[in-house]
Amino acid sequence: MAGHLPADIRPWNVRRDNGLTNAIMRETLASGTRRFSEGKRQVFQGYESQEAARQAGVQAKRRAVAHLDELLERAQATIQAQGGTTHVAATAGEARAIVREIAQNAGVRLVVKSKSMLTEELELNKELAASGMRVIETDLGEYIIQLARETPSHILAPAAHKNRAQIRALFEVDAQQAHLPPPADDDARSLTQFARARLRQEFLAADMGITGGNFCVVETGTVALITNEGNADWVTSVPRLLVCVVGIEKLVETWEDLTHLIQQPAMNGIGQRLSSYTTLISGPRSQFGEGPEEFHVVFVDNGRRSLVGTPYEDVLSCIRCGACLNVCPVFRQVGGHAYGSVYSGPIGVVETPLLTDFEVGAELPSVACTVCHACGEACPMDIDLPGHILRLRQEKVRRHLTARSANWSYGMWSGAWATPAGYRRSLRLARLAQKIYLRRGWLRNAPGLAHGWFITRDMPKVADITFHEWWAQNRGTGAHD
Amino acid sequence: MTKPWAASQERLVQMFEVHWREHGGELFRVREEQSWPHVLNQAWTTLLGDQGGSVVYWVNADVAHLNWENWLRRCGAQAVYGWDAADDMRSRCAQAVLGLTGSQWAVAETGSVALIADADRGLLPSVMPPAHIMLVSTQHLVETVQEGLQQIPGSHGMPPLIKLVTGPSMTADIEGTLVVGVHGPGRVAVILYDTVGTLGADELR
Amino acid sequence: MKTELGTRTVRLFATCLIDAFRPDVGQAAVQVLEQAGVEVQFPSSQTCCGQFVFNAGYRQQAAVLARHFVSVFQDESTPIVALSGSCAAMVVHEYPTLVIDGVAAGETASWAAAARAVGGHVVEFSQWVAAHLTPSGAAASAPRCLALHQGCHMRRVLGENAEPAQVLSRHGIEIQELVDADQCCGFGGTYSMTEWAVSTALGDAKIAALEEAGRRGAMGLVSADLGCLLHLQGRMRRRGLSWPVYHVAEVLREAMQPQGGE
Repeated sequence: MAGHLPADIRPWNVRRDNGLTNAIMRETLASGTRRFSEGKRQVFQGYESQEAARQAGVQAKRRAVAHLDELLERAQATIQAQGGTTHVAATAGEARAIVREIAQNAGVRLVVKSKSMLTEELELNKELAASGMRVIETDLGEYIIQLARETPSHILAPAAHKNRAQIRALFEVDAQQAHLPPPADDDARSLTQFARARLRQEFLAADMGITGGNFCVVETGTVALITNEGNADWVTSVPRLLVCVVGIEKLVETWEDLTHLIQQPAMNGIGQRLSSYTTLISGPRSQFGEGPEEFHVVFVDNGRRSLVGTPYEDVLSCIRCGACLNVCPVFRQVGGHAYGSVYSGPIGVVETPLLTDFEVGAELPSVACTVCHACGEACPMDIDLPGHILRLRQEKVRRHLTARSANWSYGMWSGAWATPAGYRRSLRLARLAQKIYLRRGWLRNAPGLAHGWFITRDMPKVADITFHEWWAQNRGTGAHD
Repeated sequence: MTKPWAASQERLVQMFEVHWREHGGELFRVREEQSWPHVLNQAWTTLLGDQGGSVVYWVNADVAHLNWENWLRRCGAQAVYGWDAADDMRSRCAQAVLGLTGSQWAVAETGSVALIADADRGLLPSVMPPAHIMLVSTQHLVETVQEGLQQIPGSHGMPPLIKLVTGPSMTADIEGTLVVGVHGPGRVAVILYDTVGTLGADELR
Repeated sequence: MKTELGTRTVRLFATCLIDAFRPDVGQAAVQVLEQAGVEVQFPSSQTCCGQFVFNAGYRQQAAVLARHFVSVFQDESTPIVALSGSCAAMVVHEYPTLVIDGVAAGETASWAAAARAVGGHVVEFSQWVAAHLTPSGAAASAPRCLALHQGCHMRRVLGENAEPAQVLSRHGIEIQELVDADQCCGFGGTYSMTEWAVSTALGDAKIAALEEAGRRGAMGLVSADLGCLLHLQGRMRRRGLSWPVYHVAEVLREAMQPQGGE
């Protein structure tokens, strides 16, 4: 069954142009993604054991996807045996209702969250807010965009599109409402200091914490959370209720599987051997221990299971490291918002239409990829991202989701060029027809499919003597030497 | 004479030092019991300067007999609270300038320290105060994350809360500028110590 | 330059872009090879490898072109020297599964085998030159220092990285690496037409990198892929910039010219 993802309904060209004209975002993304990619290159150097771990991790993820139903059953049993409560949501709507009911039953008024792409996918904050709860994002970048009422532009750097002045302005308003002194200055340090003080208020007052989960280990019932800021540690240690919202594809079978995978997000995403905080939670607190009194895990399908058994199954191995975003030339230019989906970059191009059966992001495979294969090279889980993007383009043609004029052009093109005579004829024709578009020997325009080229670029004209013709005249039968 | 075991442990110490410092962590070493007060003072000064304030702490059993409260006061602590789950540890930690904790084990090749919560050992001192010192026994150094994690699912089942600390709390969410001390401590130190039995008696002297 | 082992014969895979828009690149390749004593054949029924159509998602239509290509090249076993890394990658990596699209069940195995065989003979031009030709002592009249742009398919699909720089350096040409050299230039086949805005933004980033390399001494841009070059050159021309761009074959031809003219 297809899932549901929130969509930015503005058309692609509007979203794209917003990105292309946002100089701040492009500058921040360019330096950030370059730093991440360079960091990744360096961190793997002289650390061969992690290459073996990566490969073992890939196998673990593939195995888990192949036994998803069985693992889901077992994971629930383990978590329950350790005193946790489990829930399974087939759809986004079900997931939202489950979390809302948990919160309502416990009389929750304030929720603190650590970063979770899945809860963005579910638009969970909206649901809880509608039921009268306050929901606070505690990852710094997420907090900034929550104040700005926006969505993340990079899974690792959600506020990459905001500059310091904009952030300070947001914080000043926030400071007033929270009766706190505003940021002392607009440098990153002062702004961060403000957020530290501000969010501390919320952490200490919160009744419920919500997290995602980087991995969920079946045999130990463990949810693994990885952060650099330490906010997940507040969320898991302080509120009396904890809800981990976990995609079913995050399951891995064994503790050993986890040991292979645990470094991969940081190694590949930001070029660190491990993020600052790795938090492993396997149940509610024991009598005198620390942690939540109530521990819930909500497993969410929302279209994921529909990929099992298809050529796209490996997509479910994604560990959300962000490596594909960091190397994607299109992502670096347009930023995350242009994708109009929670998931951006190459994985978003593939996942958005797949999870929603082309309801959201059907344009993405065509518009957001130059087929440069950088994502395929970068993906630590060996997901065939470039192959999938091409497959999705083919799927669009099959489903008649492409423009009729394009179908016609490509049909004519291949039809004509499938024979030498047709090929030669079409070039001769082009040579005649191009005359009206020539200026000083260069083409300045052309009709049809090719028109886009000439909006920003010139093109050499079709040569007076093509290579074929030159060969025939100079090396062809009887003309050789 | 250095025993082969000690030599391999020394290699892990060096490896740990490289990677822990890489993340911006401070590192100190206690080779004999009598240098604890001095090293603790060094660590305090490095992390807090001449700042005073309150401290929440717990340590591992092998060093529990030492005079922590006294030493911490001499460093500048105005109040010292040992971890006590019955007490209001949350507000104690919220006010503390320093959390001092023991650790379960540490990973040399990533520069990570593992903490496991139970009745006598809370994780809040590692989360809430602006500075955190972790005491790590060189005996408990392992080379890889895998080796460390393999020790965990023990006979008592899974501990509900485990944490690996690999450097200070940090973010680059504002224009990609690295800032430490977001939600957790911005200043972190590890004091590596040798326990009796890990080194020969003559080396301890 | 000389071939290592006496006379060799190769078949030239010129590509549609070179054929139509820059036939002089094809001529340069022929001259480089012939001057080194290689016998060059040009199967004149060749048209286009179909990558434009394939990358746009028109698999069936691309399969028609792929089968034509295979039928043109399948009868012999001499090396097929491709004047584009990207087109070479298309034949080598996509054809074996592509050619069987739309073919009757009984013929799929033979088509796949033929495609694999043809793919096995395909070698990108600079790779072939690097492996089989050694530079002669001819004085160089080529630009002394060039920035190199490596096409993405050559880099990542063929996994070929060193050869273009290698063959050029052998002739004393200094190669300047571009900043963000592994980033796509934005060409992407018909992506350059359908998504011209992003394509152009990427092209401009590459041009900025070229200008930066220029400050380090680069006198122009060289690549083994004409698609990228046409895109960048067309953009520079529209912006009034005039950095020269060269296909590897053109630079090699220049390098092999005796000094003082043709």
